[in-house]
Amino acid sequence: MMLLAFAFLYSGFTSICLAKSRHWQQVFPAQTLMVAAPIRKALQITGWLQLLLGAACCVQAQGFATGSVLLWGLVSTAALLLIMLLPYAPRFAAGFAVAAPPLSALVNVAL
Amino acid sequence: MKAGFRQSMAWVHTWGGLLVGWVLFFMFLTGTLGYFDTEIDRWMKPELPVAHASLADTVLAAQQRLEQQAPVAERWFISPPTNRDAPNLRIFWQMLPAEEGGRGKRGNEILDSQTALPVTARASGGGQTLYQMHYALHYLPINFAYWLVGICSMFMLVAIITGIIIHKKIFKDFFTFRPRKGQRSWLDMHNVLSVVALPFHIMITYSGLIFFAFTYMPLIVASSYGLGEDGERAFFDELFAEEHKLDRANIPAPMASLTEMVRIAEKTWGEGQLRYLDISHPNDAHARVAIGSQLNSPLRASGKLVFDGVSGKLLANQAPTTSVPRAVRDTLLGLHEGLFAGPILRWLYFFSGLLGTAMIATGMILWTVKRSPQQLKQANGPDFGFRLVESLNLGTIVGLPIGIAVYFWANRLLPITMETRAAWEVHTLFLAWLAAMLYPLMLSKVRAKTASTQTRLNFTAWIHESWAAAAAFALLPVINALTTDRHLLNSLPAGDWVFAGFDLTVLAVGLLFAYLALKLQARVQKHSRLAEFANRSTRFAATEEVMP
Repeated sequence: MMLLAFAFLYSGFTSICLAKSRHWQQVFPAQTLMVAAPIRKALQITGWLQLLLGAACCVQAQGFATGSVLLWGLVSTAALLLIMLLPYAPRFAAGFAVAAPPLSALVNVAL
Repeated sequence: MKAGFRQSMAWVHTWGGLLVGWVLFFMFLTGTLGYFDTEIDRWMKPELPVAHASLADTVLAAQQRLEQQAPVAERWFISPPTNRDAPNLRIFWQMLPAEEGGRGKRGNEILDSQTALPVTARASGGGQTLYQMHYALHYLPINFAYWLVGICSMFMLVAIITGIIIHKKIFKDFFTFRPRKGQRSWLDMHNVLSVVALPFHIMITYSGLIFFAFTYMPLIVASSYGLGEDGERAFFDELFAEEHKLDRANIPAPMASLTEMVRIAEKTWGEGQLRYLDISHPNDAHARVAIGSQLNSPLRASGKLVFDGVSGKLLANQAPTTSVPRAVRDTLLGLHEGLFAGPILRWLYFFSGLLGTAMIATGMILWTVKRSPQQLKQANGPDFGFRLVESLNLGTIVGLPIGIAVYFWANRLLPITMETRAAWEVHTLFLAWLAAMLYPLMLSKVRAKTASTQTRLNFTAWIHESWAAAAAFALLPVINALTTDRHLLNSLPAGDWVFAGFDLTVLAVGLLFAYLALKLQARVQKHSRLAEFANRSTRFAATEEVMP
């Protein structure tokens, strides 16, 4: 459950991040244009939804009190991982955001 | 006006941060290690056996030993090994005061729960000493240390708030880190480390201050209870009053079965949910036994079952918390200590603490990076103040970790029979740290004073110390293997995660420092190539000018 929470948080941050032109260009350098407004909106909404899902997973895993502490710890870790990946491996950072939630859901089911 | 406000906040942030940065770095790093205090304790006392007696036997063993050590006591306290924080059975006792109003002698022991005899291990400060240093420092009178720590924490809180004010693009730049851009990169990094763990930084600093609120703000208690020690005592007696506790009857009476009470407690809370037994006036007609439950949430307070110690009757089932202000305080303290955290959350706490430590480090480095271009242009080389900050930065950011590694080395290498062993473990930490602070100053004193050599020397000192730290940490598993049999080859197959985890962690830290050293070396090489190239082209330009 915690793995899934982390995946959602990471993915959510990536969506919100890609809604910013600077980072959109980092990941898609070929498209020099700004990220289109509808895509941007969609990314932002998806991002915040994923963050909420991540929070829900934390509470589900450890209850509200401990879960909310866990949430802040995972938020820091997920955000930092994304920020450190972006300048060095932008494509991987984005790809990981797509792959992480289904993969960790699979792990969750398997365990 | 607005720019003026931001500028003055920036001034406070810069200079306030610089003033206390080194102490804060020390507090953050040792405090972060505190999240693994028990694990470090265990690594530093490898002889201690792993406890595996049943809870009933454990409690009986404790009682047996307490009867021998302190049959007529004011209080007994038993911590059975039921959680991470208590890997071994520990007993504590307080004797009756020798005179009226005084305080009785105290003692404590770690017991083998099968033999009821104290286990002996090498004398060592362990993780507790490291952890205690983060709020009590060392070598200083305790109250002075508390105040110093309080002032530094207050500066930290101010630095956090001013930092938020002066960080204009806190949301816009949330994901921004631009490497290889000098000062820009340092500022980005400092911002990222501060912002991603901001809730942790605020929580840890604020709750740290709350721990000592009664010390820092004595007048609030004094306003209701009167000045001086009597007022203080009256306040604490009331604050920590225990409803069912009685005064001593001074009539000897045999104790009811503790194991029966333990059984009731486990039936109430579930197996393994019992944290301690607190017995007041044992073997007296007014004996009371309070059994506390585990801490399973940030609220740092146990639920309690209170028994009559003679009849064994359950008198009360008390909730962990009784008043809202008290619950707020207990929650803040609980969040700070993280005693409730399981393995994953514990690592997250540890990691967040490291982020805080790194935030302080990058702030300190930023101070020098910002000033170095101007400082290095000066004909006589940089000012003493600048060199001092540079040396203290290196001496602390790399030097304190070296000191901590040396502390672990000392634990394994100092003679077991040495009288002042535990004290010398700590002395070696501070001696190594001191040496690491003096080294860069010495290096620049010994050699030339021009600006370019100054930069090179500074880099050289960083490289030397990084290699020293790399070796000090990476060789710890080797030292452990040479001095104990709980090394990686044994601990990994046995699933001895405390030992394996410690060894693997210090190994990783060693590799990180080696990586840092290699990075710095590569950078120096690049710089000297550039300098050579620049040199050659100026010479070339000069000859050209002379030519007709």
